[in-house]
Amino acid sequence: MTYDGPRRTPAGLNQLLRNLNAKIASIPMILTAVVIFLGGTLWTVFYSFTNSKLLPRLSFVGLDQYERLWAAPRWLISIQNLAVYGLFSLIFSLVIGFLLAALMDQKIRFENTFRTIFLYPFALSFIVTGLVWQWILNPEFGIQSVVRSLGWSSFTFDPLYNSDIVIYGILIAALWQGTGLVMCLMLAGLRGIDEDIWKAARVDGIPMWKTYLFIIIPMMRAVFITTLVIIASGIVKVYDLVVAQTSGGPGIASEVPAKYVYDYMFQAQNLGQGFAASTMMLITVAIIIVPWAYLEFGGRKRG
Amino acid sequence: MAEVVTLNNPSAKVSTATKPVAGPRGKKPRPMLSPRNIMIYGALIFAAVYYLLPLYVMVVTSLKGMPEIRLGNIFSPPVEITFEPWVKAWATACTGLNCDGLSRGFWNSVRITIPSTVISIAIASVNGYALANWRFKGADLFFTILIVGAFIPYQVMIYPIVIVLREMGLYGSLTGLIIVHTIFGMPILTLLFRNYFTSLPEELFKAARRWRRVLDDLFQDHAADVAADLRGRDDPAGHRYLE
Repeated sequence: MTYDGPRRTPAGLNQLLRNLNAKIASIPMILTAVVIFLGGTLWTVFYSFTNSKLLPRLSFVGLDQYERLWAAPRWLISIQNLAVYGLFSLIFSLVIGFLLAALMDQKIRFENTFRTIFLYPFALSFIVTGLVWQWILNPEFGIQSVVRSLGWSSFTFDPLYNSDIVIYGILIAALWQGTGLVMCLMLAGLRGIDEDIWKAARVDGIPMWKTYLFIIIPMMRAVFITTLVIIASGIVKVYDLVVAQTSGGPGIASEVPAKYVYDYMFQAQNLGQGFAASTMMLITVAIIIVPWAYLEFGGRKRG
Repeated sequence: MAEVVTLNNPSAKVSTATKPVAGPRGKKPRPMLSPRNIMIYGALIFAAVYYLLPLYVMVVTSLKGMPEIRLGNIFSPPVEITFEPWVKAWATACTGLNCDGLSRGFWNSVRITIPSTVISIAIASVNGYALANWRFKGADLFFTILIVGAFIPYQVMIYPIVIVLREMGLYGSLTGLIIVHTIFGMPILTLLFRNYFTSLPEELFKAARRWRRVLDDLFQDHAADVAADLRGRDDPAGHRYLE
């Protein structure tokens, strides 16, 4: 298929025509990659230095938008929430996901049933997840009222109405939705481990938890890193869950950066501010992705 | 493994010459109610309850009437099962200006999902094939941009996309949504197809091409024969071949 064509055409044209079907076949990919992903990102970064309001305008104000952004209490709370949510979400989804996968890997019965149960929340939209958990965490209908009606009348559990812990209420719903996928990725990793390693560990009399901790988990490094990147880039995007559960409330206690961006772009009609905030999100993602990409692809030659 | 077992087996001496013993084979069966099993299944069932609880709440609440929802707690089963909310949600509930319930949104979903799935797969499979088997200069670069793009938050690219769609007159239309879905689905689908085509042995494609060439040659020979035949025999319409 690498038919090079007759070599009578001029060098530049020849270069372009070489492997022409491949290039024609890749046009959609090239367009998406260059125009939307690269072009769109650069466009947003570029316009974040302007004071665009309702429509994008080319009047540059330097770093003004960023100064305003970092002075806004709402943005600071958003960042703080994202940090708390992100940290706990990462730790818990990795730990719970791995534990569930390890349990599922014990040659149990009904494995398919359990897997379906753990994975079905992933098929639901964030909006549905958010609404259901809003009911369950609602103090008048949900867990609090049930426990109170059982006799413990001073029991208080209203994470969505207490601005100090509201982000943990969102975390509960997020973990419910996301750990199934982590479990599946981990299970695939566990299944990829050679059975002989287990046999060797059993022959040597190593307890199971030690085998997991010191042999299996280090062997699953690649799976862990990939999962980490998938979860992390999902965390930065979190938006609809918050909108469905609390819409940022109480007050501004559960704001997240993605919501800040949408509100400024499409409601407050302050495009420049929205672009600056989304550029900060881009930088956050870059901090996660670049080291991973470097570790994953930088060391060896791409093939 | 099997030999070790037979050596330890006293009855093995008799049968080693003939066949493997008909003794116990496979793993030692574990009793169903061992502490280990109780722990494993206990933990799994506990987790399953946590995962099923919201689904239970959703279904149970949907079967209750409005007064019952206001009064009781959300975990109690419905006293009086009613399917009226389901009918209402599907056909008459008001969302915004329209009062035809979920049905409108559902058909919109179908009208978005089917074309964007078909288009996405069509584009991504061709892209993936090109990346796997027709590598050209710069292909890796574009592919890397595409994959990195999958991790960029939508918020970063959303406004330029809005502008492009508005320029094309597609903003707010289903076609626009289909395009956006295709774009954001492209990285992961292209990756999947590329990996799939890379995992197939290249001989398969070569064989397929060779087979096609053989068919082509056969067909051309045949066509030439037919043409010659037609010229030779005075049978311009080729009736002989139509019989």
